[in-house]
Amino acid sequence: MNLLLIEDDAELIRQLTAELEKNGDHVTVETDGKSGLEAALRGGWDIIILDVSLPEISGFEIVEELRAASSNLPVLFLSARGDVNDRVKGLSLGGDDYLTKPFAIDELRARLTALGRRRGARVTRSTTIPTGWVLDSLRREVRVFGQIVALQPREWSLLELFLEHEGEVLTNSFLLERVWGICFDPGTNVVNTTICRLRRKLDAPGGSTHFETMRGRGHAFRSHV
Amino acid sequence: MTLGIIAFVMMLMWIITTWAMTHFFDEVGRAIIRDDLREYGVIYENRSPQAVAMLFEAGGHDEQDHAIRLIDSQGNPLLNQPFPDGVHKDWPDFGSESEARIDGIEWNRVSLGDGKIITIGRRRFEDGAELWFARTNAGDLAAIDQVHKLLFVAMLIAIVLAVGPTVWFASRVLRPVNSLIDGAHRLARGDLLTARLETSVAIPELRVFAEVFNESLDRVQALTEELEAANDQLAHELRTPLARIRGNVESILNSPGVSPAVVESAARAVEEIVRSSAIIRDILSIRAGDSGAMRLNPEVVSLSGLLQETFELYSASAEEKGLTFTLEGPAAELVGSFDRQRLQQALCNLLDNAIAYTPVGGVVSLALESADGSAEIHVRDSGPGLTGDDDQKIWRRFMRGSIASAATPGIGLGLSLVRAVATAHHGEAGCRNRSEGGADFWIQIPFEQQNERGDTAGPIR
Repeated sequence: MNLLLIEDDAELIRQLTAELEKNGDHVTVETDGKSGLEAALRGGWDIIILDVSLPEISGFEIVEELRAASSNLPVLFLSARGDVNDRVKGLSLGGDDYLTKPFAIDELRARLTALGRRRGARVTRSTTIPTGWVLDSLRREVRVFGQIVALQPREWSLLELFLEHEGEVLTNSFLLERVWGICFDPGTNVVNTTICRLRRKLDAPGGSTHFETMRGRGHAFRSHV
Repeated sequence: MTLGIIAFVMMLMWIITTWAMTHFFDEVGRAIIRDDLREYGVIYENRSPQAVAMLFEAGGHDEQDHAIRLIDSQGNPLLNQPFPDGVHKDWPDFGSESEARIDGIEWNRVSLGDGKIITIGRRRFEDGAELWFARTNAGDLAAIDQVHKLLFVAMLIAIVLAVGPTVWFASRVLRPVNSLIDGAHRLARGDLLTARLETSVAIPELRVFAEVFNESLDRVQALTEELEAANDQLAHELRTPLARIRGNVESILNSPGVSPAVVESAARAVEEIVRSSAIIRDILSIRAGDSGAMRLNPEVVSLSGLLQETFELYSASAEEKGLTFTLEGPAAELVGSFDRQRLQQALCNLLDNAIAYTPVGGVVSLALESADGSAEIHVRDSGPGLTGDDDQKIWRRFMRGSIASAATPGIGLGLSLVRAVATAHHGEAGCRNRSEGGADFWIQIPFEQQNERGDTAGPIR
């Protein structure tokens, strides 16, 4: 993907560029609001990663200008302001996603993938995936080698999210937000327990799991294990 | 109080004076009658009844107050000067009720009502004639009345003299002292903003004290505000370095071929960073709540649905700990306008605590109750409950209950956040011990039923 990173912290720029380019993305960096806005208006990006507090012009103002210029480029905010209100403000001004510092690079990657694929197809009725499972999104059922397994709503949402981000590491906070709709850490192991239930229901008994949990990072779904 | 004492003393004085004066005038009246009887007796014995009449008239006796009669041994009047009409016309019959003879005088009294009394003295001469002399106490009563009037004026003066200083004392001394106590109470409640003392005090020492006190409070408040601003700034500023650290630690986690021990250390470091960021976020949220600046993002929320979701979030944790976890809701669905995220976070904090502090095998329940115009959410547990002043202390920032130990996670921000969220919703949060043991934590928020059905499921249904 062709990414525009508008950020004034040199260390973060170094880390993000290194990590994102490792994935094959191309990152262009602007370090202040003014040149950032110019670059954003020039267009040609897949996604803009935008720090909220920037010298000269703030990230919020850049999005306002951008939307005023009827550009619908996906914008992901990075912010040291983690208040729910700032998040709401950022999204209502036309941002597409909002990530609070400090964040996991895995989470940024997952969110970028989600934004990049926004117009992509979802799981439809009767989709066969590489694991050999047949998914019925209407009934929220999975046919695992002839056996029909019914999923709870949250389990289904979690599975869908994993399929959209196959091979990517998804952090707990990302899963909590997308599946449970909560933007704070509730301090429960609900994510782990739900993943455990998916393993029990879908993984072949005795075989390796498709749902891998990585300490300190998150969880990843793999078709081939 | 003072007024009561004055009134009581005055009443006592009134009664004693009246009694003493009545008694005194009675004695004086009798003495007058006795003297006159003797005087007129001498005149009668040496001269004639006419001489007596002349002397009576010449004596300038007030006809209203005195009466005289002289009768011979047959009862024929030799002289009769009774009271005028309207006072008392007839001479009373002494009959057998006459008082004992003292100094050769028989006494009798006639009550005319309203305290008016006629006192009569009778003296017999050797020739069988009788001299009667009577006197009313009208003059005495007028004198007593005069004294009463003076007493009343004295009482008014006494009240002014006694109450005046009391009023002055209350307004100039007591009120500032009360304001001092009030200020100290406010300070104890942590209300730095309004904990000020009244400085318009008549007592110079107290005024100086109030001024010094206020001055130090101003300084403390300025310092507190500065500290809190610095705190906020610090919290914000910490996020960027934490982000840098996290990025670097994660690059270890993400690199291939790193030894498991290194991965383990890096994972632990990341977990600590996540915890620190949560603390920073909570501090900022609570600060916003403290200053009344917690802006809510209200949406139409079904409380029943929100409780159901929150219940599901914790059912696995509760089960893992061997707790019985139940959800109790009202029959009707409660749909109102709330900040969904904040409210759920408050609930999560309560449930997290309840599950952490309830021993294995215990019971935790989440309940929604609707009262008149408000909704109450209760988190009840069968844990050790609250001891001592826990119920006040635990709501303060960084304060944990006496039952908390190093083993139980948390730094004492959860309940402050619960209270901040409840307050921002114009509600309250509190706790009490249950009679059957364990604690009952509650959030009460004003509630108005909304018609629209709330979006209670997460973003993906």
